[in-house]
Amino acid sequence: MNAKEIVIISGKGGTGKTTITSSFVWLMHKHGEKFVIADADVDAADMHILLEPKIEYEEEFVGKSVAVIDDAECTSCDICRQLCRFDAIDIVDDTYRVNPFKCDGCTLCAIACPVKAIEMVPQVVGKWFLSSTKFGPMVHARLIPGAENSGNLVTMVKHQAHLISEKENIPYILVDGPPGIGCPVTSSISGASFVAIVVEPSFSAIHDMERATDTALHFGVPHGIIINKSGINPENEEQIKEFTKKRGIPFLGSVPFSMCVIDALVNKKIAASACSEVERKIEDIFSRILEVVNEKP
Amino acid sequence: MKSLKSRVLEALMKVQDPEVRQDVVKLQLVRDLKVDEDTGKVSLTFRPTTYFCPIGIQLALMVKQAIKSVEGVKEVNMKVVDFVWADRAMEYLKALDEKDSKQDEK
Repeated sequence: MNAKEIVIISGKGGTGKTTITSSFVWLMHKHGEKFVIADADVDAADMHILLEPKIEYEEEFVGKSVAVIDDAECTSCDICRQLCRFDAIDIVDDTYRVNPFKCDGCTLCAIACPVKAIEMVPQVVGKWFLSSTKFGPMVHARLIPGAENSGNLVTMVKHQAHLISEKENIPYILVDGPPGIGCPVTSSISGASFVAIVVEPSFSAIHDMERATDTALHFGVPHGIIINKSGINPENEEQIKEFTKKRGIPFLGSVPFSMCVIDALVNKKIAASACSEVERKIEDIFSRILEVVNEKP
Repeated sequence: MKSLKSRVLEALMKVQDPEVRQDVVKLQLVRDLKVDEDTGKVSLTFRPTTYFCPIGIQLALMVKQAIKSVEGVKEVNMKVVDFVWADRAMEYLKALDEKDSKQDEK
């Protein structure tokens, strides 16, 4: 069985992806649904703060290889430094050193080195975790600060979530996506059954929502719009609704800006569990998403 | 001597998904692997890690080539599923067989 995968993205950061996703988690659990939680925001994962997972298994994630020079073999011929178009090779205290942050892993230096003193060494760029929560199984990850390959780590997180869903016959996967529209986002929405785009009524969020919508459209993934923090700028909300009409995108509903949500987050609580008004709104939105998702075979 | 299935699995364990840098067996990308020890016929289902996997076709070809390289394997029936370019991957896999049979004829 292929699980239905619901992914929450936003474009702009801070619009409330995790607030909405964790509320979906709480509501599904309340209604007795079985699901796997995947935190695909590997650069700045924070679902674990609210869901308090117990880590059952963890594994290092290996990313790209970087060049490493063997001092004993190096003859200081300087060929590698001259060829490196990323300026990743420096001479430090008369020895040749590779700056791992600059090295792109292209392997040119290793090929060109006449004495084969350069080896390409795979780098650990993060860790992924299989955990249990009181709501269900969770897959999450942590990228090492400054490391690359976050899109590939997202692929691993989602793949592991699918393996759990297959093994335990779980029908849904809830994915808390990353902000932006780059590699980790495209990995997040790849193969999704539905993408919910969370927007707040601010100018930058609207701008980024349009880009996130274009990304979902490009990959042919069904998507809809949720307004979070509704009430802070009614004119901008109208603009968002107009956008959905013009594009023919389902408008899934609004979640009001509420001090209750802020209090909940400050106290490490899931918004829907602490605020009844918000719970009702998010429940309506989630019902609409499930309708769309379950329409498809 | 090891069974044909063991040797096929060993060959598959050398095929790495370059995106997540693990082998296709550990990642459980190879499913329903059946190996007939007498006839050398192998059948399997392959699925990439993700529906839009950018290297899904190449990976499918690598899987089939790895199996075909095992001594004693006579035929590989491989199905690609859960992949946006599954049909195209199947065409390439068929072309691989045709290329190999032409080389055998020579």
